[in-house]
Amino acid sequence: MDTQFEQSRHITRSPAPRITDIAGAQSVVERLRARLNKAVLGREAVIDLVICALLADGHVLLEDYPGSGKTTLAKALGDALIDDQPDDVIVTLRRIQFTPDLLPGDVTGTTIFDPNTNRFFFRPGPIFAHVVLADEINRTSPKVQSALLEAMGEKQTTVDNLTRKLDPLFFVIATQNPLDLAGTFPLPSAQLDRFLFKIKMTHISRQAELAILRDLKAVRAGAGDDLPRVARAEVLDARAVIEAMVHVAPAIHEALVDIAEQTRKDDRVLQGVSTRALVLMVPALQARALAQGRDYVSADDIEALAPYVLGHRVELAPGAGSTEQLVASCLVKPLERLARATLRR
Amino acid sequence: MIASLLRALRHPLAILLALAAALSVVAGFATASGLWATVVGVVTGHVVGELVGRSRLRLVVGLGGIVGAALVGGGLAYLVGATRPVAELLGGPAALHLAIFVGWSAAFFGSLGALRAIVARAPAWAGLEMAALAAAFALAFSAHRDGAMARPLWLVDRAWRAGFDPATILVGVGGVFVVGLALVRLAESRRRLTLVSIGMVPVLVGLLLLAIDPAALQRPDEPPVLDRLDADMDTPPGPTPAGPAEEGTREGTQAGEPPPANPGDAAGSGSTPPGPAQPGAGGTGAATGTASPDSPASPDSPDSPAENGAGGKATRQGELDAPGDGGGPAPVAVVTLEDDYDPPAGGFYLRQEVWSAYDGHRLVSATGADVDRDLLDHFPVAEEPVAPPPADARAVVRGRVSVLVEHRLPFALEAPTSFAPAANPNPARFVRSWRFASLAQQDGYDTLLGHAAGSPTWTPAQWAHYTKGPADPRYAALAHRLVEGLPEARRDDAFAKALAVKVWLDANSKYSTAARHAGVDDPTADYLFGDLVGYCVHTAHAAVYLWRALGLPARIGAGYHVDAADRRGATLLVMSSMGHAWPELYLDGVGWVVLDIAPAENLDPPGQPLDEDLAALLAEMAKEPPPGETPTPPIDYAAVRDVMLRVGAGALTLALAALAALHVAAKLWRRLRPRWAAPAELPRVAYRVALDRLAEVGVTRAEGETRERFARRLADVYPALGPLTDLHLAGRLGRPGRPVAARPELQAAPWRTHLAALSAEIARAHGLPRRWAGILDPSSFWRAR
Repeated sequence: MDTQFEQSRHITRSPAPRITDIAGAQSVVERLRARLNKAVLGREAVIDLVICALLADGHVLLEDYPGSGKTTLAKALGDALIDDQPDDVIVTLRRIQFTPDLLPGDVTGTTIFDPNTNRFFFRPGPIFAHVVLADEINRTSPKVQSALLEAMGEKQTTVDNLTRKLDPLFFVIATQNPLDLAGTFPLPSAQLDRFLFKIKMTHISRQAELAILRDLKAVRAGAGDDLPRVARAEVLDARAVIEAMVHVAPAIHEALVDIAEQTRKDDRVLQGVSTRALVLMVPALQARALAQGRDYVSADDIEALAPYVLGHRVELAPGAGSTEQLVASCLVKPLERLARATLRR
Repeated sequence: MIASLLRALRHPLAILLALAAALSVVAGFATASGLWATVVGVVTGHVVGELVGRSRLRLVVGLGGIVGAALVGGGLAYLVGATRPVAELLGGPAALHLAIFVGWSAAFFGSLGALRAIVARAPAWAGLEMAALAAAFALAFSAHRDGAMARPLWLVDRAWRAGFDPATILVGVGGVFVVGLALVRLAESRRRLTLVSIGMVPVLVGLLLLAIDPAALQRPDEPPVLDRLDADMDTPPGPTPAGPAEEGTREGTQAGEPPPANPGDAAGSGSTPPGPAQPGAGGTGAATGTASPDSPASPDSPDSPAENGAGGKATRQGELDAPGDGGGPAPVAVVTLEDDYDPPAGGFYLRQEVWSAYDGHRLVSATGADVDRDLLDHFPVAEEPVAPPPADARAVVRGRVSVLVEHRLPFALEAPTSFAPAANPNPARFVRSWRFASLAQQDGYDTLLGHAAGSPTWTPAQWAHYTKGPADPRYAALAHRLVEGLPEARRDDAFAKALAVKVWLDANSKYSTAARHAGVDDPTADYLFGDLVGYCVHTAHAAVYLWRALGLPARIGAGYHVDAADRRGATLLVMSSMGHAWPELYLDGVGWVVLDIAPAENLDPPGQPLDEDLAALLAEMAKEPPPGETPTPPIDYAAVRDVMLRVGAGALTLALAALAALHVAAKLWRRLRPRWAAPAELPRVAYRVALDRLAEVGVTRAEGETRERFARRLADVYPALGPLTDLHLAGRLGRPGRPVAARPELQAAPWRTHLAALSAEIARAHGLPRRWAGILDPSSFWRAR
């Protein structure tokens, strides 16, 4: 295969040692966290969520204003990965800037006629990458959105009736601007459901902003570039380890179902949390537990992730306030039950 | 649900309580506009105070504003009320009303508003507001101590009129107020209302109910006995023997004395002077609240009868000051005789007590165990015999007594042999019934000659007891002079000597309840060697002293005297005016003999004749229900209440003690449980110890707070809670089935380390008093969640 296109920067052909235990998975988290925090200042919470989503095999929708470091974050993530299959078409990072006139082929790739060989050949689109930054996803037409969303859901893409597999690592960071809504195509709830987390970013702290200005030069010069990276296979191994080794107690399952029930029976909610949301949430909880240095899921994980997992999955009645408040109020009773359950025989 | 309702109602409730407190203060003296002003002031004060307390205003500024507004209001009131132009403009009364209104409302606005603002800002000062309200409330009622003062009048008067005991009402009102305060405190508490605290409110209510007198509550349906009697009888309202009637009885015996039938005439002639019934109704005398004359500590009882027994004297209006004294004598008891008996003395002597001990001043009740054993010092609960007299010349007389007013002691026809309880034939009328059996004197007085004085079985101490009298030689001189008047043959005869004294006293004394012989050391001497004008207590003392001077054992019997002419069939109606004291003499083989003095002349106006209808009615009512017809069981409300109080208080105490013991045991169990817990149990029971320790010092997890968040919240003060929480959660949520060695949460050592650290941190963060309060609080573990 020709590799004329921009190639991953960091490659290796020698496979990294396999990760088989909790400690190894934690080292993956630590390396990612260190690199990302070095590259993006003052975003520790978002970075943790992104790592969490990466290890839970989910995708992230960032709702944010321009210039808040989304691209920097995505690039740093791509930069932190080592491509251990340098010979395939899949690179570590691609960015798609969505516009209204974008076509699905611009995302998935197209079949092109080569006059020299008199043959068609497939030219992969930007989704053939480990990390895809889908910028301003709500600016493009629904058909482009759905092309991306198929890839997100199925880890495959279909061009000219030919289905092509994407990499198992495939991880999308989509963004949308919450304010500038004119001429946009808001994502329907079915498509929002594909994102594991919807993260509303807020302005970073004064200290972090000052640090950014101070360290601007150093970062541009590549400060922290020497920090250890993570091989693609290591991420996949970590996912397997997390799924197998981070324990989810029955009480946690019960709490999740309780929370779903709470959202469904709340008067302010038109549509409560789907069962799929719970299914997707479990690996996220496991990933966060691991990131917190635990080998079991706890109430703290639920409390930390519930707003990001459930916030975009409930539909509120008009005038019912914010989803944050709703999710918080729906957590109280299940978490109280869970806390009491741990003291019970 | 209850908690949220309570919380929603806390402001109306608080306003209501403040209103109650404020109105109870001003109700006594404020005018209508003042009352309305109070309402306005309290409500606006509460609302404005609450708003100021919640606002972002500095508290000092807010308080200044409130007080300033109140001062401005006060100034305005002064301007309106005290300056001429405004008064002229509005007209006098309008200006006055306006001034009162503005003034009162400003005063309450200022005081309650300021308090409220402080409490709303800093709930720790809630005690200040509670204390102010409680003090205001208590102040209004504080004058009513033991019912001695009828304050506040507006409440007490109405209560009496409705037939309630105001004390009960006051206790009830106070209890409601306390419960209200407790509810407001509960509702305003920002903590979660625990089951325990809500549960304490019913306990408070229960205690309150226990304090309320069911008998008093029952009364509105049942007007006081004598009121209704009066109504039935269509007689003018009489004095209601209220209050402790034992005083009344006693006072009656001293104060009102009917000139008794002449019992002493040896011939037993019927020369009974008509006994002008003296209305010595002692019952009302008790209402004056004078000191009880029973105690030997008030030795001038005999010489100051008017002071003690003045209450009942309708005929001496000038000396009366007791309230409710509106009429003549009232019936106090009905005695039904079951054996036919005709008293040789011409009257029935119903003896309640005996004065035989000379205390240097007068005769008082004896305290020795070997004298006067023919009395019962309590009401019988079973058939209780007393020392009987010799059976010679005496007839068995059985009878039943039903008293209409409470008596301190049972009484019976003289020379009783036993007392027994009896069913109250009509609880609505009578307060108590009992039976007695007596060996009443049967033979005439002429048969008494020839008996020796006293008893040969008596000890010298008993002899001395019954013959001790004043040292004054005039008694002996007079007595011997009288004895010398006897024929030679009779001079050594005990009864003849006694009779000589009696006959002389009969002939020379004059009866008058107005003569008091007060203020002298020996009132009897003042009477006997003075004008010989006095009443029963004086004559009885004179006779006894003279007899004792002759070496004759004598004593004074006290109780009621019913003239034989007033007997109706088998019934004796005892009126309050029949209280009497008489001298008694002991003759060997006969026992105590009543030898009453009948003064020759009565200076008192005649009393009312016996009310035949009343006597018949009461006699009917006092009849025992015929056999076969089951009587309605008498309900003794006082006893029921006593039992309820005792059982209720006992059960409550027991229940509370059991509850406390249970809590302490549970607390201990939880604390010690980790010591023998299996490894798998450790994460649960050992972490519970940590939570218990924290709950003791008031640190608890909020609802819905995760355990990790709780630990993080307290990480600054109790860093050891973090590892403890991790151990706990690892044990409870971690993967089970791994070897214990790989799981530190299942080993005792880490738990011990961290718990010890936590203990040290608690000791560092809290003072000893707080920790001990927690340790002693048996319910602390309820808050450990």
